[in-house]
Amino acid sequence: MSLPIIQLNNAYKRYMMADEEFCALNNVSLSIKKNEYVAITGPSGSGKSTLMNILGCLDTLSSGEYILDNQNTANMKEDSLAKVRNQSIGFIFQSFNLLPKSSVLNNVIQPLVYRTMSGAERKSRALKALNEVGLAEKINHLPNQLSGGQRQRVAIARALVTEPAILLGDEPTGNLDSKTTSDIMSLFDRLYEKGHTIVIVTHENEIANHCKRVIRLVDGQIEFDKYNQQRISVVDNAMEANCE
Amino acid sequence: MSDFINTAYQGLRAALQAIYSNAMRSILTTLGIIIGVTAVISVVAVMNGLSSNISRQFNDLGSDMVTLRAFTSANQEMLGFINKLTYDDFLVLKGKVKGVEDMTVTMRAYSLGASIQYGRDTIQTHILGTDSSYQKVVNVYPVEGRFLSESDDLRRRRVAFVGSSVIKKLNMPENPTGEFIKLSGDYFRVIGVAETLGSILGYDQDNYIIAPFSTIRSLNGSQVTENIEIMFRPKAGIALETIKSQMRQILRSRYKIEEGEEDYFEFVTAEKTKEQFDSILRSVTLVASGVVAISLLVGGIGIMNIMLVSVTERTKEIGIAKALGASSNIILYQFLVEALVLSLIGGVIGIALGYGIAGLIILFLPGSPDLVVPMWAVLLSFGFTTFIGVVFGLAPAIKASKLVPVEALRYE
Repeated sequence: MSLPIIQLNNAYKRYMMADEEFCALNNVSLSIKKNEYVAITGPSGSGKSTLMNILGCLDTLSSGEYILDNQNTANMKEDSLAKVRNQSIGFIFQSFNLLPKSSVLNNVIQPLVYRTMSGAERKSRALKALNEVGLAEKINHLPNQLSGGQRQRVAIARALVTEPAILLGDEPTGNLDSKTTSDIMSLFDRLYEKGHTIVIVTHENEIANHCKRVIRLVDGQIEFDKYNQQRISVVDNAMEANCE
Repeated sequence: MSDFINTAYQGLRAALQAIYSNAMRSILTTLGIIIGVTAVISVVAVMNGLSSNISRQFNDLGSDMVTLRAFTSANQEMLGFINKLTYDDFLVLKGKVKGVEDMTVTMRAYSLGASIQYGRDTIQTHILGTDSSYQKVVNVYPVEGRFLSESDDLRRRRVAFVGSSVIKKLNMPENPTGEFIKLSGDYFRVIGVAETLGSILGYDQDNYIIAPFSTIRSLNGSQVTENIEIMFRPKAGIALETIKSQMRQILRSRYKIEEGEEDYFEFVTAEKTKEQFDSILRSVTLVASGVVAISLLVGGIGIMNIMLVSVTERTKEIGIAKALGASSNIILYQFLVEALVLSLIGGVIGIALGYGIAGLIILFLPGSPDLVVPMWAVLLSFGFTTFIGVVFGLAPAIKASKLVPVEALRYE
């Protein structure tokens, strides 16, 4: 019914490594629709990070087609890709990637800086996004004055502020303890329920099984792509862990 | 268009923020430029002060004043001749040469030695014999008392008109007119004090005594053949050359100088002496400029190094900015603006410091000239710092803008 937001057709990504060609993505095709909650998983070296970079327009395909939000990114130049990243993608990184010398508010405002709008509008949008992740009181703090979970929430606010077509998380809970992991995952749940499209790259089965759909890569190819019948709640697990 | 303005504004903001949040690094970066520009401004200002000081003093002397004095060529000197001009030459020239406004004669007091005494103090000084028209030719004005009069000369009075340094060195009262100073056993009454001229390049222009020509001449007596110098000023509108040729003709015939032989005398103009001073100053300035140019260049290289380090250090930051949608242009622009702002700040501080330091140095210069920094020096150092900002900022800026986002993000 609804058009796919992400459409990847026969995608190949090849690297030259020590005179040998290495195929990180080998004929991958997939399609993700609006308001899906997808985990991309697989062992290390399976190509999931490469796929993540492709989906995030941080890297381009060797061959194949990638259509994001009705835009064919195949032949785009770096500056057009930068624009696509700004308009359509909200990144959430494992190591947060906040600017250490900028306040929480300025970190969240940063992606809006590359758009033409008034300073007041930038600020009100950033405050709204920070409110959504529950950090409205910390806007003047520096990242190093926050806990890991709070930093990741700042990063999520930064991803939300541009109202992107998809939220892309690259191991978003990789640096967090189990309690904070469950906090962040329930934040993702809430965003999903509000209608956001979420794609998370993870090597943790727990996280993968928490999502509605799991795509598993092995050796640059899709091993399986299935919908979880029974979602395992990371939240419950964490509760149990805390009780023990 | 508004996109462009936004890019410009955001680039400037990001650059200023980066400078502000790395204050220490920014200060170190600009240090080279600050030192360079400070050096340019202060050297130029001091040289300018010196040069205008000298020009003014020469103007006081009267740039149209000409001195005629004996000249002995190297050849004649080897043969043991020493040419001299006599008082008779002066009288002849004064009577015959047309177009001269004022003409005066001076003679050094060779036989008297150069020491004078007042109370218990004795100093060395220049003792000059001349007549009343000296005042008009050389522009000497008394601050106390009067200059020599015609009757002083006629009556061989033992009176002295003294430079201000003499008063100070001999610890004489502030108004010393009427006091007596001792000159090789004879007492001279002080009749006036000259206004202070200051010194040129360490030479005290106020350390002299002027006495009537006839007095000095008689005191010199017959021990030394008289050797005078003649000073004159051409009348307004009369070319110096016509006067010189009249004098040359008269003197050559008086001394029977043969055709083709060199003059036994020479004309010295204040202009000529000033040119010599100026050319010395110019070469000093040139050497100083070279040193200063090197320091500016080193400053520029400093900026480039820091900017390159800054790009490497902020690779991750650039990666984040690119992931969030910053175009290459915005990154390029940001780094370029950063380099430019740093060098301009350095330039402004340097100009301010340069003014300050030059002002301090000038306080200790003789004649306390005004602090003048010519516009070209300000523009040059400003232009140069801007140039350095762009040139040395460009390479790191291009490097930053070309970073691939994936790789930049991976950088730790």
